[in-house]
Amino acid sequence: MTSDCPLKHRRPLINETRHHRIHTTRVSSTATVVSIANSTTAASSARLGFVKEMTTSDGRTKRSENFTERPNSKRLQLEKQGLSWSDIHCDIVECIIRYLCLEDRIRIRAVCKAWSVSSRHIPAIAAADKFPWALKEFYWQYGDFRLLDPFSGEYVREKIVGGKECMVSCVEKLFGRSSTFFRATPYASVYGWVLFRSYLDFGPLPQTLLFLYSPFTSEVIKLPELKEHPIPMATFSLNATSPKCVVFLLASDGHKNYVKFCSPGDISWKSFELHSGIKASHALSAIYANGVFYCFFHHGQLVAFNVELEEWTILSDPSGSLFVRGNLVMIDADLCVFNQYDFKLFKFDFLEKHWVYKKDLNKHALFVGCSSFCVPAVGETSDLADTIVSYEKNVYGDPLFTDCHIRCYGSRSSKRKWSQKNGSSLLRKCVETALYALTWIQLPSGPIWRADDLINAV
Amino acid sequence: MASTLKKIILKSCDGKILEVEEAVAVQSQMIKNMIEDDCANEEIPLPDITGEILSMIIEYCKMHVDGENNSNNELIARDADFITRVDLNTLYYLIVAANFLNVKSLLDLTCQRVADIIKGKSPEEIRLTFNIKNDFTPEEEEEIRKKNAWAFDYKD
Repeated sequence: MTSDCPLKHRRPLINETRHHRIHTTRVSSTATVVSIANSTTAASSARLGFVKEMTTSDGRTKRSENFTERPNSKRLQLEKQGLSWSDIHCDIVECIIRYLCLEDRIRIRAVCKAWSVSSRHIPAIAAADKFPWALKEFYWQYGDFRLLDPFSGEYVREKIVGGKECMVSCVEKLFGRSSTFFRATPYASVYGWVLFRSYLDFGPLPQTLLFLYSPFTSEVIKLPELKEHPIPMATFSLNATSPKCVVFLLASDGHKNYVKFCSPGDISWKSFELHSGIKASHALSAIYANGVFYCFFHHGQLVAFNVELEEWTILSDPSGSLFVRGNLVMIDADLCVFNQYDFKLFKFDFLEKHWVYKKDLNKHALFVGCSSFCVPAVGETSDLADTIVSYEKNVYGDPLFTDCHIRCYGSRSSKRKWSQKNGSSLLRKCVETALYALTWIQLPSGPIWRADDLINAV
Repeated sequence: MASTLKKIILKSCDGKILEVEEAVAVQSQMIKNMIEDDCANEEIPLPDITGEILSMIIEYCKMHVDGENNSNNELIARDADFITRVDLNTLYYLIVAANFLNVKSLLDLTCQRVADIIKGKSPEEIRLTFNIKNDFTPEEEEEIRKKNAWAFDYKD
C-alpha cells in the first residue's frame, strides 16, 4: 500500500500543477511583458541616473501584487537595493568574457573588483581574437601609425594619447632628435611589441638604431647603440608568462661575424664571435622558441643559439634547396620554414637534422611577414583554413608596389597572386590588410607588458 | 501516449510546482545527472529560482526539444526572439538559473546577450547599465587604465 500513497498524493498534485502551469505561463508571459516595459523605463532611467527612485516606487507596487508570499526572497532584497551584476558568479563572468573582443575584455577589468579578478586569466579566446592585427604607416617624423583589425577592416588604434606631439617628444627624448628619422621598418613582432630599425645616414658613419615599440602601450624602448651596420636580421623573445625580453641579432664588422644579445634597459650588447664560416649577411630569418634562438641562413642552414648557456650549435648544414627568402615560423610545436620563392613549407626534423616538406597546414592559417604567425582557423575563421597569406614589401613600403600572394592548400596552383575575384570575404579582408601592413601584430592573450615591465624583468 | 512519458517535478523557491517531460528536463545537465543517479523521483526543489524564471527556462528547453528537427537557422532565430524579449533583471536571473541548472545552450545564449550589451561601452557605461558600484579606489582604477591605456584612451 505504500506505493499507493505517493500516487494518491501525486494525482491531485499533477492536476493542480497542470492547471497551475497554464496559469503560470500566462502569468509569466504577462509578467515578461510587464517587466520588459518596466525595464525599458528602468534601463533608460538608469542611464539618466534615476535607478533608485524607479525600482523602489515601481517595484513595490508590482511586488505587493505578485510576490507577497515570499517577503524574504533574495530577489526581493536585491531588487530593493537595485539588482547589481557585480555579485554574479565569476564562472558566469568568464563565460560572458568569452564573447567579448580583446578591447572589451580589457575595459571590463575597470568596472569593478569582482569582474577584474576573474578576467585576469582571460579564458580561451574565440578564434577571431587569435588572429594577428596589422600595424601600418609607421612614420616617425609625424608619429603616425595605425593598427588595423583584419576582421572588421577597421582601425582599432588610430591616435595614441597625446598624439603627434607626444610621439615626437618621446623620440626626441630617446634619440636626441626627431626630424632625422626616416621611415622605421620592423624586424620582428612578438607578443604585442615590435622591434624596429631606423637608419641614420648622416654623419661620418651610417648607423642602425634599434628600438622596441608597442602600439598597445604606445611606448618606445631604445636599445644600446651598435657600431655595426647594416644589421641583416634581428628578433626578440617575449611571451605571456614573463616580461623577460631578449633581443638577438647577427652583425658583421666586415671581417668578423657576431651574435649579439641584450635586454631592454641594458647599456651594451653582449657579443660572441661566430666561426665555422657562418656569415651574418647570409641570415634570412630568426625566431625564438623554448630558450633558443633559431637562425636560418641561405640554402637551408639552421643554427641554434642558447641564450642562457651562451653557446651555439649548427643544426643543419647548407643543402641544395634554394631558399631566397625563408621565414621561420612555429606551427604548433614544430619549427618550420616558409620559402617565399616557391611558397613551400618545410618542417625541421630534429632527429634526422634536415628539412622535411610539409604537405598541409592542418586547418591553420599562416600569416607571413617579418614575423610570421600560424593560427588555427576554426569556427568563425574556418574560411581561412589551410591558407597562406604573404606579402612582400618593396623598399618604399608603398601598397601600390606591394605584392600579396596567397596559397590555399587543396587547390591546384601552389602560389598565386592575389586577385579580388577569388576567395571568401574573410580572405579578402586579410589580404587587403596585408597589402597595407608593415607587420602583423600578435594580440597579447594575457597581460600587456609595459616598457617598465620589460626593463625591470629578471 | 504522453502519459507514459516520465515526468519530472520541479519546485521553485516561491512554491510553484512545475511538471516537465523528462526529454525537456534533461536539457539541464544538473537534472540529467539527478535522473541518472535516481534522485529525481521526488519533486526537485530549486531554492534560488522563481516560478517565473523556471517557466521561462522550461519554455526555452521545450523550444529546443521541439525544434530539434528544425533547421539551425530557425533555431537561432527563435533563440534571438526569446532573448530579446528579456529585460536586464530577468536576464540576470536567467543567467544565474541557467548556470545552476547547467543548461549549456541557454547559458551561452544569455552570456552572449550580456556580452552584446557590454560591447563598445566604457567602464562607466557598463557600471550604469548593470547597476554596478565602482569599488576601486581612484588609484587602483588609474592603475588599471594605465596598464592597458590602449583600450581606454579613446573611449571616455
